[in-house]
Amino acid sequence: MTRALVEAFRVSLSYHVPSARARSLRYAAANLAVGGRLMKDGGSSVYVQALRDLSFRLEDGDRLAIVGSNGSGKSSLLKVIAGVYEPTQGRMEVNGRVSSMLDIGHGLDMEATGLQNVRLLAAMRGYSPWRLKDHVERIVDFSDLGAFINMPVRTYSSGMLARLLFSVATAFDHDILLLEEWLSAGDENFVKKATARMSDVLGSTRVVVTATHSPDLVRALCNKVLILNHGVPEFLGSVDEYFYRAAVLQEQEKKATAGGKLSV
Amino acid sequence: MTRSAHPPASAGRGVYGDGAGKLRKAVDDLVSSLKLTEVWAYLGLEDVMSRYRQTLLGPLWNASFIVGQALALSVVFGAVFKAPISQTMPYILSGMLAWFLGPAAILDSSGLFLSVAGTIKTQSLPYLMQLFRVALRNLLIFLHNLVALVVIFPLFGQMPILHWTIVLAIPLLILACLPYMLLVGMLCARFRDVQMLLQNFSPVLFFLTPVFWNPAQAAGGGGGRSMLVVYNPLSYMVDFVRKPLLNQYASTADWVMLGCIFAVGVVLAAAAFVPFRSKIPHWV
Repeated sequence: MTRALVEAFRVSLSYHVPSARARSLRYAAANLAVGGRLMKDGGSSVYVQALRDLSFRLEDGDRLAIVGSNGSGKSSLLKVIAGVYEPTQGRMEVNGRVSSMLDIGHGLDMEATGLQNVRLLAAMRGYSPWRLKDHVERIVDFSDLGAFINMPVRTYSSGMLARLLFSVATAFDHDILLLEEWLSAGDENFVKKATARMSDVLGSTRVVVTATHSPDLVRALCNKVLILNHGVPEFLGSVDEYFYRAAVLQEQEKKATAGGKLSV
Repeated sequence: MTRSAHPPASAGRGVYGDGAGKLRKAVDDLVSSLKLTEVWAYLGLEDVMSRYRQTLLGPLWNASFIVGQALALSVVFGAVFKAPISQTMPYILSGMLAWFLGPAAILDSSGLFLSVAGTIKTQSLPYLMQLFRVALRNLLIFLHNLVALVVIFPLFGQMPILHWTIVLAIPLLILACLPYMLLVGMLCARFRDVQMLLQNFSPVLFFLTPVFWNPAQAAGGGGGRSMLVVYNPLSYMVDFVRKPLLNQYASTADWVMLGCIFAVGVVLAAAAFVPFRSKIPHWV
């Protein structure tokens, strides 16, 4: 059996989302005085079971789509794989470099130039900007920003900003790619370039995990699908099985509605 | 769990968490933070550079603000204590520099995690890296302030000669502050009103600490005020750096006290960081 790049062993994740009231010190002090009963009252703190008992295994070449409605735990799972959240139970094993393309615009300094921002964003991904001369040059080249690269980012149009961010996000090598949405940016010419780059990146990536709502993306990119329903895995299988299941469910639904109509 | 051998610390870090596991992961956090020295050094440097980008003088504005405040306090308290300004000004200015390097840095680290929430929520970087980044920023700002001291001292008839122990005093004071900064950073992420509390209490602590008043003058006034000096850890922190700034040698007692402050801090910070480290991304 080949070595798994990502393997989840019965992963569960739960956490408290404290309300504004529960965040206050006075409340915590009062709570301490009454032995923690206030917290259990509910309303003060929302207890979220984001993932429950999730197991899967991704090997070289696997492309997993995580499907589910909003709040079903897609982002939480991506963050567990990224190493942002620690599972509260179970174990997540990740063997390889992870590149997370979640919230790629975070960390921009609007006053700094494009070039300074390239280095800043690299540092925020854990790379030493002092050792990245080649990378930085390639990023700058790819962004096609020309002389604008030495201008403060606040002078950029939204298209230019998107180009800069895309160039940085796709510049680093990795084994495992976490994708929250399909990345693309800029005007027509750049979109072509970006699409080509994205295919390149995906082609050279060993494992891709993406959270998506789009059946087209699932069909085009993925070979495995995981359906999450309130953090519980509802289905895990191949893309063919997924679409077969979807078709069957649709058929059943049709029959049910048709049956309902007849009985009226 | 297998870790990636590659430079960025982006390997997953999920392992079932019992008590021993948590301690190991906290130590891992420290080790990978140290491995990422170039990264936090860059970010700390950028923090200072971005101030230069926004204003002409950058952190030197800070320094000039400190000089202005020290001057005002020297005029007022020189008159109160009937001491010549040539005596009060160097004392107060050096005290304020030490205050901003030590106690103020602790009281000001409320944003340690809150200000980098985006990074914490998207990247698998060790948390202590953020602490080192802020410490480096504080050091760089202190060095700016030191320039002000060197320029201002001769104007008040004091030669800007620093005792050589300053080379040790600065990094050691920063080190002693680190655990308290971590503690404040975590508390502020968990309880949002701690930030308000600190903002309001830091001037109070500033007045209670012998920064601009001399304990020698206060001792005559009764036991209450000398207690403020003896039982106030902040006064040792200030003294530890102020003495070498005034070309004096910090006494053995000062060194021992600073060591104790650091040791207590490490215990407190570990008690917060080890069990609650994994909650930080949910708090911010």
